[in-house]
Amino acid sequence: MFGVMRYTGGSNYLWDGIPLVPFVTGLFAISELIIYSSQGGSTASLTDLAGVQWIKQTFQGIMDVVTRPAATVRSVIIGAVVGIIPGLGGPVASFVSYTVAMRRSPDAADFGKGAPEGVLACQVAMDAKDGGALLPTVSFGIPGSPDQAILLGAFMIHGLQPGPLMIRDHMDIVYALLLGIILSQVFNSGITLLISPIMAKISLIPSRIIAPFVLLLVFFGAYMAKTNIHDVGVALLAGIFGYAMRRAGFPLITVVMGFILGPLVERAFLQTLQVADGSYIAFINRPISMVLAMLCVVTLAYPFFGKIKGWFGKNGRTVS
Amino acid sequence: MKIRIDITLVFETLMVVMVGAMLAAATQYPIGVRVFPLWVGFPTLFLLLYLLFKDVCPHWKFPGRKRPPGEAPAEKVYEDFDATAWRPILITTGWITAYYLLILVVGFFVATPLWLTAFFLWESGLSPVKSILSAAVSSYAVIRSVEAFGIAVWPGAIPKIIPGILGGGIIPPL
Repeated sequence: MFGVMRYTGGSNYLWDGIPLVPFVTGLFAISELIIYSSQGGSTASLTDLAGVQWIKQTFQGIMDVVTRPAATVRSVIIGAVVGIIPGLGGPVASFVSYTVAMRRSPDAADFGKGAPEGVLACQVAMDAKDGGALLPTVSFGIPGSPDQAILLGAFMIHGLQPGPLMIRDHMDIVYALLLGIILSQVFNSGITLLISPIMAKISLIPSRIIAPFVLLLVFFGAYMAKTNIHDVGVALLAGIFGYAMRRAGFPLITVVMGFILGPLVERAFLQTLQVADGSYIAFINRPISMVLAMLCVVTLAYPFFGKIKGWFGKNGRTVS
Repeated sequence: MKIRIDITLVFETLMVVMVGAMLAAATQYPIGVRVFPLWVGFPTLFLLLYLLFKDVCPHWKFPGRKRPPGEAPAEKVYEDFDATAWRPILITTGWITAYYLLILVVGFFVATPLWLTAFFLWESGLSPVKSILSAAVSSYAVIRSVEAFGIAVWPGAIPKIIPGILGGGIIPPL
């Protein structure tokens, strides 16, 4: 907006900022690769392959879902609701659904040992969150999950601005997304059933054999974005940074949310200031903006208020 | 006061330094350019310092729930995985970095099969024949797929030896 280079460090490469595709690819894929490959072994281990009846077990899995409609519907609702909440993602949906299923199950002791209800709760919620996550992504431009953060990046690359204007001006794309999710779930189910016996065996392949193929695809993918070899370096550095974040206990989705939403927020912020002649009152002088601002403050401050209240109570001091 | 150095502490310290440097750099920009970084940077710095302080001085009485006697302290939960030893992490990172440097120098055509063969032989424990075959087939498949999109594959920064395949690539200005 101002024609000034910012945070480039004198580098021509950073004139347009850090590229999205290599950064996100490296952050998620390479960091996961570092963990996966260094741990060794394989995703699953099985000593006696000959005793496994793959097709029979596939059908058993189908019947496990069909014979538990209440658990399935409950997991769908939990997954969709969690998906609507921005930034939480599949693991949270799975965890919440698993916990609820375990508490409501009469056979809670079997959870953690391959109980079908536990697996069903996790996977159904994980899939259901995609539909819920699409809502904040398209409506507000806030990704409902890490996958939606990637989708947001795709929107930006194609010049689409997520938010109310997208719903008004590109409703056809919104419907295409909805139909895409529905059809992809249907086709995915069919394809997965067909290839699940084969795919299950892939989990037995040692990580040291799968990892190089994945790295190949990551580096090529990062290069293909703009055919700039430095993008591969960005992916590498992002992967190392992502690993350090995960090791230190920081979630990666927050970086992606800030990375994608940051420019949008800044543009809206500066536009508002320009319209209001530099006055910050413009952010709270309308009922909707004031409510949203208060919600932001309450959301950020609530965890601290609760802890401070507990601290004052435990020390015998009361606030009059 | 003995401070236990761990990755969380190091990472938070580095983040504090980075955010602090960005805030300092932001003060050099014109007002319209620096306003957003300052608005975002100062709360970020404050929160990072809070986290750092909590980790450096865990014995201080921060507002929170007092643990009943007999209850075990909550273990720090790392996202997604159990933290592994550093040696395999550094080895894996070294391999990934070596692949990138090889690509930079000799290009995808040569670096990919070379690196794959070396990794399969050294780390995966495959036989030489399997390693070479796997590397050759997967390299060919991926490179052909990329070329099918009309994308010129990076040939490497060394002087041109085989046009379009080995050497002759011009590294974009950094």
